[in-house]
Amino acid sequence: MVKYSTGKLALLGAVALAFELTLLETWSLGGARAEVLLSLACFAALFARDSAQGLLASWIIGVMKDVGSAGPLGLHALLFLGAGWVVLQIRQILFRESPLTQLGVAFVAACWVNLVAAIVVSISVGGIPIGVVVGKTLLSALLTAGITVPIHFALMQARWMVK
Amino acid sequence: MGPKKKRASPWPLILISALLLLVPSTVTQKTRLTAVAGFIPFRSLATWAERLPDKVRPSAESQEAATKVAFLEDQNLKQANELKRLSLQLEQALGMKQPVRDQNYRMIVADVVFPTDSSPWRKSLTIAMGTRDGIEKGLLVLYNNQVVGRISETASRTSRVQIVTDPGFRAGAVAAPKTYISGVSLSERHAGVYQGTAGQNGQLKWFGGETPVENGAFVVTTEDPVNGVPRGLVLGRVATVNHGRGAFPKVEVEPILNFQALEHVMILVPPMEVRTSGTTAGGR
Repeated sequence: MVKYSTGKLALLGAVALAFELTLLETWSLGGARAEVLLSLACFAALFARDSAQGLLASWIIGVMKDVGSAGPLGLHALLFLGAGWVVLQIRQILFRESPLTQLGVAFVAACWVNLVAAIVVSISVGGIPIGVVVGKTLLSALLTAGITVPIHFALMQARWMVK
Repeated sequence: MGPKKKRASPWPLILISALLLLVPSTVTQKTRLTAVAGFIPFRSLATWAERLPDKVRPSAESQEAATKVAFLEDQNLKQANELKRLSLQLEQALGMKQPVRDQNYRMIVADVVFPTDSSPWRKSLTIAMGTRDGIEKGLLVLYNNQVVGRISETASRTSRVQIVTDPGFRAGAVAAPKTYISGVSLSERHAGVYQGTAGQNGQLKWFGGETPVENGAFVVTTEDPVNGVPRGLVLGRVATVNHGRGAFPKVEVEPILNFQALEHVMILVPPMEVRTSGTTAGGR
């Protein structure tokens, strides 16, 4: 089983944040883009040594996402923590090494995070048209699920990066 | 069967997150912008990576491309000179003056550090100028005569700009006719409110249905001295007009600028009399 160090994963999260803030937007599709940090949080929850590590790692990655955002600090931390908690609850019945599992987990987690974040932004800042919310959420979830499989595969193969 | 593992409770982290959410944004944003400044070296790395495909092109193809580029550059120069001549003629003919220059606004050039926001629902960019350079919340950010956004948060060396497509960005705006009708000035037309949507386009709302709006027309700002917004700055171009069943038509406004490609922007500092007459509006 893959095990990771929370510190190394956080470092990888910082690199992923830099990537999200620079190059990733140029590869967006219809305004939606893949969520690399969320993919890392899914990895953190799926392959955690215990639930405490999984929760802490997901939360730290969420805080990192908040650092690069104009939104309130703690929102993504809370959402990533929620996603991580659900994964930790059900991972006993999941075959976590399977790409299909990783794909499904990332898709559902991306839908949850994007949808709730959109609702919070709509309430606190200004209305986002429902068409934009649905379209961007689904497209972003698909892209996130798409990049999750290679990211998790790379992390499972190159264990020195996270162990 | 081994002993049952005790599951960790998420409540302490939920509590910390809730407390962080309660901290005013002005306090947390300063810290975050300072932290983000630590990522500046990654920006130059990304710029290098963006240009990488051009560097690895085969040499024969590269030579052909270089010839084409030289030809196009020459054409471009000729057209730019022609455009300059025509622009001057147009300016003289209409007696137009630059809205910004006319009102003694000051411009400060700032480099873009990060052209995007990590949240998909917020649209912002980070610039390498802050309070120590005299940057304040609410100042308008431009690229040529086009609005990029408004300063929403400041730290000592960096600031965050709320882009026009952010859902929190609002400005008084009007769709300028493609063909100029003599005797009709923009201020006399029915102005609406431009708002970002977190998508690729913004929206022009709350203007009278009798106002003619055509596809491709420029959407420009109306004068707002309280918030330091001069009139005539371009917000975007009308993409679609949906009259629907409501009293007000919905107009989608497509930004002209590619915000991800911006390397520098101009910060518009209003003259002191404008700044003292009203506080500049901060983004939410």
